[in-house]
Amino acid sequence: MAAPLSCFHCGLPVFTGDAFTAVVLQESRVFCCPGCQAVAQTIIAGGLESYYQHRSEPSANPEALPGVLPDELLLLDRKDIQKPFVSTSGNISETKLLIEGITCAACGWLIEKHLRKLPGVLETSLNLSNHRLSIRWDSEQIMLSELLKTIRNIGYAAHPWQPDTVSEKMQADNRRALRKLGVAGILWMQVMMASMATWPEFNLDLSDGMDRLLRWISLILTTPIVFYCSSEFFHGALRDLRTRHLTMDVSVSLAIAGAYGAGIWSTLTGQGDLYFDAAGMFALFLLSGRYLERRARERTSAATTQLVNLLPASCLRLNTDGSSERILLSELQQDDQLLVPPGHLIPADGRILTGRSSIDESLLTGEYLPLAKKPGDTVVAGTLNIEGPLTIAVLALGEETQLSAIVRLLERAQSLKPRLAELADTVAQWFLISVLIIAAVVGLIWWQVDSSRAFWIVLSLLVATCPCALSLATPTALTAATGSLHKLGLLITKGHVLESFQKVDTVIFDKTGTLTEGKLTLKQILPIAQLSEHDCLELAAALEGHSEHPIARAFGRTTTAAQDVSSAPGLGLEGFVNGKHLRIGRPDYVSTLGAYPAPPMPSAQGQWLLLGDTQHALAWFALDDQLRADAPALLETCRARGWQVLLLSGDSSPMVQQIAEQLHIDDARGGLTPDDKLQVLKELHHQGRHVLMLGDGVNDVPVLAAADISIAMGSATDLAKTTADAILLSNSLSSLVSALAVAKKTRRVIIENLGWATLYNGLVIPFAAIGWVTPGWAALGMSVSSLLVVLNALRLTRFSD
Amino acid sequence: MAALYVMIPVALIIVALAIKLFFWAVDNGQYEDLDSPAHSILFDDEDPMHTAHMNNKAPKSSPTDEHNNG
Repeated sequence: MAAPLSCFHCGLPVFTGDAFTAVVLQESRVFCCPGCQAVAQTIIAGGLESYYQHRSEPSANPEALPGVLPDELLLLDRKDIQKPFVSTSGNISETKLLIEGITCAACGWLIEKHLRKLPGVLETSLNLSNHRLSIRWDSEQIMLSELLKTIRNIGYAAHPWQPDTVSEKMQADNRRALRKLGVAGILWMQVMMASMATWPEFNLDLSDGMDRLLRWISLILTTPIVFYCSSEFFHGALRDLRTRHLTMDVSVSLAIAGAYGAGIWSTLTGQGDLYFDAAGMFALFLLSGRYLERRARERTSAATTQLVNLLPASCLRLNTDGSSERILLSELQQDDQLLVPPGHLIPADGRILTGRSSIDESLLTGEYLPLAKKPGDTVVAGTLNIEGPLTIAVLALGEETQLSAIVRLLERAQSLKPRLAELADTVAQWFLISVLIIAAVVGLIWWQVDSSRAFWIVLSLLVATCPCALSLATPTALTAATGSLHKLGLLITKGHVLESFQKVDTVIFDKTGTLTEGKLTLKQILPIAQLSEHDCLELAAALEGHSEHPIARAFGRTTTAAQDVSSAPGLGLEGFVNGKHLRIGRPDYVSTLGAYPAPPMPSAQGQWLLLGDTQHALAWFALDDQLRADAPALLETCRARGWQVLLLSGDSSPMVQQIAEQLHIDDARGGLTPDDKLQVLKELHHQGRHVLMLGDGVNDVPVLAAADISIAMGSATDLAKTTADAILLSNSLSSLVSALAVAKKTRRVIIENLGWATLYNGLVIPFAAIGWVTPGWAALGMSVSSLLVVLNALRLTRFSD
Repeated sequence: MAALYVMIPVALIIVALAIKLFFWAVDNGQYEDLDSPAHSILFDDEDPMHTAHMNNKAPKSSPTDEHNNG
């Protein structure tokens, strides 16, 4: 097969030739599916064709977005349901929507322009960093469901967004940090002007009154910097002192408080040097370092932490008269009867009353093949119904479901997470002790030599050695590294990850979706009769095109149409293609269509399906969950670093051992529950091991929470993503290999920075001790050493080239 | 030098106003999204429809429109 064309809209390969085309930007373009074609046509019809010129990334495939039912959208028009997230005054409603499917800046432009064309829409603005759309509309002219539908028509999914406590707190913290930074910057510049005028280096002939005025002005302007902007350092220092730790915060607080205290003394007495500008500069540098670090981490995590909805928003309740009604999940009650159509998530734990189907439990258990279920079997909330409609009696809801039990396990697991000491804090501790001892010794000596100068010498020593560069060493390196890792496809959401990579000695992998693709792919076609491979695939794909089963997706798409397709859950599909009566599925099911015996199943590995017509069997198809192409390289890197590798899977099939053999993993265990996995991790912790966990499913969540470092795949469930310390957005294990290299380099830069900062402080001590360091020299040294640290950290940003 | 006795308090007042303005901007969410405005202005510039669009909309352009485009 020649290299397939890629879809003009979403960039995925096109298997259907030119079945779906449209004229975009004066040329005929090919699309992979009717979904992409329809989206492109809507965009063209809206006159926003130039979106395709502006975009820098392919768009999201509309079929990959979560499905929404028209009647589920209509529920959102109910006033009582809108209440929590829509604010109304008169006819004007206003809300925020979370948009899925945004890939680049042009998407924002497209959504805003397209919505503004609708009658009744007053204002739209999309925030590209957290993917939230603020929209104001006239509810007399247009309904909310209409807006959501319009957004979907141009290839995005919109969900009502309610600020939860986490994101509200994050926003408030962000604003507070920015305010403190701004105030420190504005005030410090004023303080510098006023206090520099008093420095002897500038030789200004100030009158006594002017000198006093400038000192008082500096004092007044510095006070907010100390008490407002630097408050978090003092709080941190108090907290650490209470737990008997000497950390960076203690060191920082001491320097700021020392400079401020000396300034007050000098202002009141009118003599001595003025160190207010040092306090201001120090606060500003530190606050900028921390603010940048925060910003780098929160940038895109805001968009990913939002959608923790593992359950559908609404469900179909079966009334006693046999009619069904769509209600919100919160309105559902115990013992209600539910209708779950194929392709939908099961909203509550329950027992099947009628219907047969297969259920995909891979996210909860790691089993990669769906399980066949029949009346009387139990089903679990959060799993996917694949084949046939089911009627379910609700047994457990909300907090009582098995899904919630895993979430509760997560809370317990979080307390097991070991806290690693940060490198900078260890250095700060030694640094602080040495400086305090030196200051005491120098003070004592000067007391003997010239008691009137002793106080000022000790003070200049404390200010000159203030650990400005030292405390910038880590945040700047982490900020730069986080940025370049993001380009590589690894998003760091918690700060300690880069530093603790060094300590890791054990890696735990999940199987389904992590080392393997997590979806079935067609591996082999063995024609039995005269038909060619291609023709057999064509027939099979036509039949499977009518099924929601994960097996069906492996066959791709075709333009050949099948008629009267029906599915026999757990067995296979039956239908007509080009007038030919066909079956595909289990051999015994297929062979009963004609009266021929089922051919013997090939012995090769995988799930084998038979295709046959009324006369004879036509072909065997082998399906398998494929190993990710870059998995061996990652395993190689892990072993090269001397890490112990474990494979822990919830899947109880022989698949686990095969994968382990292919990748040469010695310790592979299958059929584990989330609790079992957590036990294994606890044992490893007891042996004093530091564990890196890579996983994706809900069943991995407790281990992700408790591991020293946890990384979730980009395709992982939302819960797994919010629990993990980092997210592999690119889904490619090879970017994890490069990430490990960046982490190593980051650690080296941090050590270089800490080394340089300590060296500078060590060099300046003798000069301060003999009383040569004036405020001017102290300020110069502080800025130059900080600048060096920042420049060194910037080397980490060039990694992606 | 005497002028400084007036200039310094004036500077203090200006600083206070600057901080007040800055707080207003932060609370108003002006610093929350630093990406989209930078891009949207470029798209509108390259858009061949842009001039026509502006001429059509000019008479009835609402304040929101101006805000979002500029």
